[in-house]
Amino acid sequence: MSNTASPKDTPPAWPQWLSYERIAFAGCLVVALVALWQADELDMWTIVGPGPGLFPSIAAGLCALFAAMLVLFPALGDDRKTSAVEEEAEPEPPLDARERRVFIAYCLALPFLVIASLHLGFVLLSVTVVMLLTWLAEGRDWRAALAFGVAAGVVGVIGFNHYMATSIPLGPVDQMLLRLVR
Amino acid sequence: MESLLLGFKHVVIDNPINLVYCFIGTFLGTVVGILPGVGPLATIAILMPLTVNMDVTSALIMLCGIYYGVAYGGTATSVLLRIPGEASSVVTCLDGYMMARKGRAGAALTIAAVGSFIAGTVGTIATSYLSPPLAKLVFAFGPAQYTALMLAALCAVTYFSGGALLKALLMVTFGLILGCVGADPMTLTPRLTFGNVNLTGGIELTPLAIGLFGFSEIIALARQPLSKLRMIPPPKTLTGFLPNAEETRRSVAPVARGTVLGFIVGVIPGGGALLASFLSYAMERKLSKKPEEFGQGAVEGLAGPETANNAGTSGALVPLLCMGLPANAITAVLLTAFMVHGVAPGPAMIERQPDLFWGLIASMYIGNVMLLLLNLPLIGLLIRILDVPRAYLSPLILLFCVIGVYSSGESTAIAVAVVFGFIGYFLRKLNFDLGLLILAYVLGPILERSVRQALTISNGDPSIFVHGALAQGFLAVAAVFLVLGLLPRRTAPIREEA
Repeated sequence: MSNTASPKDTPPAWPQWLSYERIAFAGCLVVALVALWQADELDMWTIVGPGPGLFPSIAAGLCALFAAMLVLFPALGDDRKTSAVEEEAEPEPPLDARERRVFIAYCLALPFLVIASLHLGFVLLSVTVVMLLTWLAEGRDWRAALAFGVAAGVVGVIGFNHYMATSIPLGPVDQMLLRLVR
Repeated sequence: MESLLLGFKHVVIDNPINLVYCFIGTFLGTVVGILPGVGPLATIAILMPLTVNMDVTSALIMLCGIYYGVAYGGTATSVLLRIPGEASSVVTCLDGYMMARKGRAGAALTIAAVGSFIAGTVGTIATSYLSPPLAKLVFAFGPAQYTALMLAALCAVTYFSGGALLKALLMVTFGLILGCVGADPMTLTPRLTFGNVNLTGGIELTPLAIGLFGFSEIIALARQPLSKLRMIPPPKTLTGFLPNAEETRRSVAPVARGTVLGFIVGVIPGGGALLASFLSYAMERKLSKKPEEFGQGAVEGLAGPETANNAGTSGALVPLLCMGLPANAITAVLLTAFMVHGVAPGPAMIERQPDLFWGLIASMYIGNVMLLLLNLPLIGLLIRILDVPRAYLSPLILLFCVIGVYSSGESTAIAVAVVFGFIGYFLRKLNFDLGLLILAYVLGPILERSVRQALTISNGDPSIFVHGALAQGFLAVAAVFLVLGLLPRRTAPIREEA
């Protein structure tokens, strides 16, 4: 007899009625209700015809209705009952420590992009993101990662911004690079 | 015919640079099709803002090239690696990969590429002959009929999405809400902005699409364990690509059937390449005298679906070009690309911008030839892209996303994309159809305009929406799809038998 507990045997961290699906449906319900409240403050009808609030109210009202039905009866959202193609569900394998580190690094990289685009400029953004993902998370050689980050940054600034006139975040390093090619 | 020749003249003689853009589009489409995780939707969304300074025809030729090129690229990974590069190549994994395992990789790639070429070319011919008369029909539509048509399209799309109806409708209405954010186009009153000035301009499509389809996919890729891909090598000589007489004979009828079926399914809103390939597989298995061979390398199981998915791709362009009505999420993004360049697809484009319309059609003929050349002799080279490790590929895709998103709205747009990236990852894990959200987001403002115009004409009387046979017919279609969506469907299990 195996003493390894399968995921099904593991006691859930929260009550079973609070499934991920239900949380998503509830989230949609909240968004819809907030949109409905906002739309309700707008005119439904003006002297020239339908007002700005009419369509958002209808859309938000329907969204709230569908979300509420799914929150109350999550089985209505069960894809397996209606899917034309029978998919064999494969349980996602648990992540080991290294894979978890990689996953967290990718999740952190996304909000970092916002901050970096505001303050660092493209070259530094590129170097930092590549070092974070390629070196720290994926464990590749730091010199190769650094070279790759710098190259990607330079191509972005000179290729996209200078030659293709595409708007990219520009910082002091990028300005310096651009002065060299202008 | 004269108009088509005008298109060829416009693309090949007047502006030969268009050929370069056509090649870039089809090449990118093939690459995107090969790479799992990077879809055509995110690619078009990334490139859309970068094409703003380009000539309209060149930009649209390139973006459309990506769209129809993807179906070719996805085949190679399905046949050689059993990894579908994009959704409509899933079925190819079954018989295409088994053919490759039996030493017929070259024949499988050729049958798929030639079938795709025939489907793409026939689809383009059908598009070029059907579009002008269909576009004239649109003149018969008033706002009420157009509203009913869009409702029918949305209901059809929710039905064909294949999941639970309520979940699909939830995504549609969520998309409609997102489309309402920002200043009202008629009165300029800010809507659903919570007083935030940054939201007055609305949520742009680029950050939304890149967040939902680019960033969320990168997070999903990060969760996948790294395993070395085992590829069946493609033939090294051209003769290795030739199918034998038996394989050629067996693929003729499925290619013909797949072309017709795929095009018809593609024209139906929500149909598109994915549904076309699944239906073609089911049909070929049903018609086959040896259904037990399916899943073990049946030529028909490869030729039919591969042809159908390309025909479906061409078919989906018909409602877009004739009526300005996207049939799926990718054509919805293409519609936005047209609008970004100040082009309203539909009858007006065919009448007032014939150079652009026929140039686009001509580029599809040329693009299909380019794709055939790219996907046969060069496929061994192109598939090496998969050798680039995730450690380098993912940051590169992220940086491309940053460039695409930033040019559409600077750091605010990146923040929006990141938020939708996490939302998209969560929704994707729970099997929500994000394509529906994008489609509804794009269709929302057009639908709202029609609703408001109709109600203005009728002085607020909603009975205008059921006035006339055309509107009633479309609403009946919408009702049928909603009712069908509520019924349990017969499952069609697709399993490997080997």
